Amino acid sequence: MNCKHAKEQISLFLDERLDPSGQSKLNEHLERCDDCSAYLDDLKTGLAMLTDEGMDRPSDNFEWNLRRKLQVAMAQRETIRYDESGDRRDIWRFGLSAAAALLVVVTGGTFWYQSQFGGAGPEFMGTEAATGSVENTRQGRPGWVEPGHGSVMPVLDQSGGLPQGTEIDHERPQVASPADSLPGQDLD
Amino acid sequence: MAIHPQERLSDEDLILLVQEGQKQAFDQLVFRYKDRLFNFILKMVRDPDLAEEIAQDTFVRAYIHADKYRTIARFSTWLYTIGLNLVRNHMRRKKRSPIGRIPMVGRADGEKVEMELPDKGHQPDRDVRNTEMKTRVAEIVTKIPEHYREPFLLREYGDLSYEEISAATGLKIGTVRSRINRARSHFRENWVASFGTDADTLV
Repeated sequence: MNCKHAKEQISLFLDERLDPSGQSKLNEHLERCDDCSAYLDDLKTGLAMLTDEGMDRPSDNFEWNLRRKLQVAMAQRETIRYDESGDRRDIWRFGLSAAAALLVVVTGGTFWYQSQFGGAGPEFMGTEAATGSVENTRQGRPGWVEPGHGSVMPVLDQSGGLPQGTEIDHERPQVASPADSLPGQDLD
Repeated sequence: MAIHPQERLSDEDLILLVQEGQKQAFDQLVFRYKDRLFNFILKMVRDPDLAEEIAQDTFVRAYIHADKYRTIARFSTWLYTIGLNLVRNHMRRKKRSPIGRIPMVGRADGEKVEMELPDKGHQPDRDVRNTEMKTRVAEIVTKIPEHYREPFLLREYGDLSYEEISAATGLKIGTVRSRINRARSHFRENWVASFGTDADTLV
């Protein structure tokens, strides 16, 4: 065993990681090597002092400051939790507001449509809503169902007029009643 | 003198109590580890105030994240790993902000000179027994190259095994063993230079 290897073994010995066989070989080396013996003695003394008399102590305020930091950290943690729950509440609030706004727009739009053009509303409101006055039919207003798409409405000719043979009763009110568009009911 | 029941408990039992909401158990852990953890950090950063800050931050993180502790590791390994990570973060920040950026102050003659910063390592108002011996030991340790010093101090102050140091530092066990050996070689060399070969006669 050379001195370099012996010093590696000394380090392992200090950490109690040297097996009996290794300890025996190291002892043999130390018995005849003053340098390595001194190395071991100095390390034993120095390392013991490092963790004993050589130890510094934190200030007397250490625990007090630690407690203060812990309080701050816990308060911050609670704030973060509160903020996160607040964020969740905000998302719900935004979602409900958006849904309410959409409802108002759709309802308002429907009423506006009815007031402007009569009928229950454009086609997207549903099949029943795709009903309207004969006048509206003639003017080819948007929102009417194309023929052949399951609409309950009479089929228009190419010019946007009523089918041949259909007569219009000009005595009827301009705004059709819902009953006018019931399935199977013929126009006058 | 009566022994408080918590004094008999292992570190792992205490941190489990903290997890269950018994916050007083953490006081016992602080009492057990504050000195060694402080010294480990102090020998790494060489600044007592900063070492205290980092040691306190280590305990704060351990407390806040106590629920993340698992009994697969010793509490001390977990605690020193947190402390080591905070030290490493500090070292990285320090490297990014070079010492050259010392604030400039104007002199009476109009010339600007670097402001003298206080030596934080020797503050007279600190309630620490900064004996000559302690200062010399600190100097001896801080002369050890940083990459050897880290596993060495985890071994000496943290009493971590090679396997635990490997887990904390990310080094292979063979590297841990080699670096501790080299750190001890540096330590002994500096020790002899400071105290001579017969240290006991100088203390």
